[in-house]
Amino acid sequence: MGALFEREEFLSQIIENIPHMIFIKDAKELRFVRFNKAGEKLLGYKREELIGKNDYDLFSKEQADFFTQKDRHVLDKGELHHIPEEPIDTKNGRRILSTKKIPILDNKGNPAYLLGISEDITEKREIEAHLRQSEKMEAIGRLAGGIAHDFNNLLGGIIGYTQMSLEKVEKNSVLEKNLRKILNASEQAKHLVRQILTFSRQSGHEKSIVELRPIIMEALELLKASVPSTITMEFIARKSARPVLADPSRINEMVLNLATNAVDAMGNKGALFVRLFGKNLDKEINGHGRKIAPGKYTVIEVMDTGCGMDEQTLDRVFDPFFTTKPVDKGTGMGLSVVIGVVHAHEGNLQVESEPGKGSTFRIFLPVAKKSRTRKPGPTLG
Amino acid sequence: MKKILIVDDEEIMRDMLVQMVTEVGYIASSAINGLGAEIACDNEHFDLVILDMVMPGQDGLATVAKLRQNHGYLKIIAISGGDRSFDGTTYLDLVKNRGAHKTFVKPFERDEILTAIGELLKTP
Repeated sequence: MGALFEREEFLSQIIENIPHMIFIKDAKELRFVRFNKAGEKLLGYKREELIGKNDYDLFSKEQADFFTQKDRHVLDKGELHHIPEEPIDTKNGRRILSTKKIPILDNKGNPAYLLGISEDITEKREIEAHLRQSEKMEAIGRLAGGIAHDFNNLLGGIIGYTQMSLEKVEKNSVLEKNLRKILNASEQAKHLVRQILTFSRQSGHEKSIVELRPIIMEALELLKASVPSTITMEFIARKSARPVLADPSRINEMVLNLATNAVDAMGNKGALFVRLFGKNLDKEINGHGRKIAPGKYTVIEVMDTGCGMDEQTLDRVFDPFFTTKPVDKGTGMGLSVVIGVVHAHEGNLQVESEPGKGSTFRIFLPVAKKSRTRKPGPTLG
Repeated sequence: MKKILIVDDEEIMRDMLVQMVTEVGYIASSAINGLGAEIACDNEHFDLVILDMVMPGQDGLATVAKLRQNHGYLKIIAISGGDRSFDGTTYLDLVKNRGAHKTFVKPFERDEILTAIGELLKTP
């Protein structure tokens, strides 16, 4: 009896320690008979509150209908079913789950229980949506920027010739009126192009003097949820890092893109190191594609132990739509987002990479000029 | 008669500017890129160059630097429509420190540029 109990304990421990929600329902009434720790944490209920209940006792009718329908499908077919994405309302709010449901048969081959394993993919989905959105905005920005250049040239020609013609035409003639109308429309076109450019540069965002440490931490926290545990992540922030004039959401975006890229370069195993520190340059140094002027900088360094890049890839790595990833894995906009943000913050960067060893991206952001916040003085009078 | 060199890879801008300055009494020539500009200035004496910053081949900034170096007397007006990574104004801010006397973002007004040319050619 002792050995049996030990084996039971052992198996129990395994189920309890699996970091995904595991639940078991009876096949007849689909009532919960077992829950693990991860399940309690996810749903926000203790297992005592869950055992004996079914989905209709715990969730909205709509969600319960969906779960039940899937359960019945699995038990009828007698085979595993994967639900890639399903919303669930827990005590902690709405989460998105990726669930596998498996029928457990008795020794006669009839369904006895339903086993479910659910992974919480809420954060992963949020990151994906976020990245897709910023990639879209950057793509629009690139398109607008490209069109604007040619457009401005053509407008220059139209406005120039129209103004020259106005010099030669008889005052108050029909021709003069027509030319003025053309000029008017061209001026409007000029303003429209400027507006499109402004919009596409997202200049609606406000910059303020900020500390970068919390912004980087937030980005890495967001990423952590979707990174396999075989990849270690380390962030070191040094006191030498001074505040910069920046738009926090764009810096967040930039760090997220760099870190995601690093993780993608590493596959299943590796280490990601992020460092934040201050650096004073007393002479010009080489940056990526141009020189970095002397001055006081706060540096964000992202280093990975991934596949690295050869010289040809390194040259093109910031081009929009350039990617070394397979078609469904990347649109090639991630790093062009990074360079957009760097430029928008009057910053600069360095890239070092060795195929097979890994890559290091170093972002230099100028230290904010008035970086001492004033403490309110004693009140007078 | 003052001589002006127009440098722009866009035909419509080139033709328009040549006609614009010729009408008010200058002698105009044109080039389609930075290299053409350098060769033209080496072969003829120009008083002023209107130079587009974004052209295929040589970087506009490098052309300005070369012209200042080899023909220090030249007055330079830099123009730009904005390129893919900078908008027109940022690139022009850069070039102001490197030797362009005046800068304009395309599309500019006829009066604006003619006034600028007049001012630059007054001072030796």
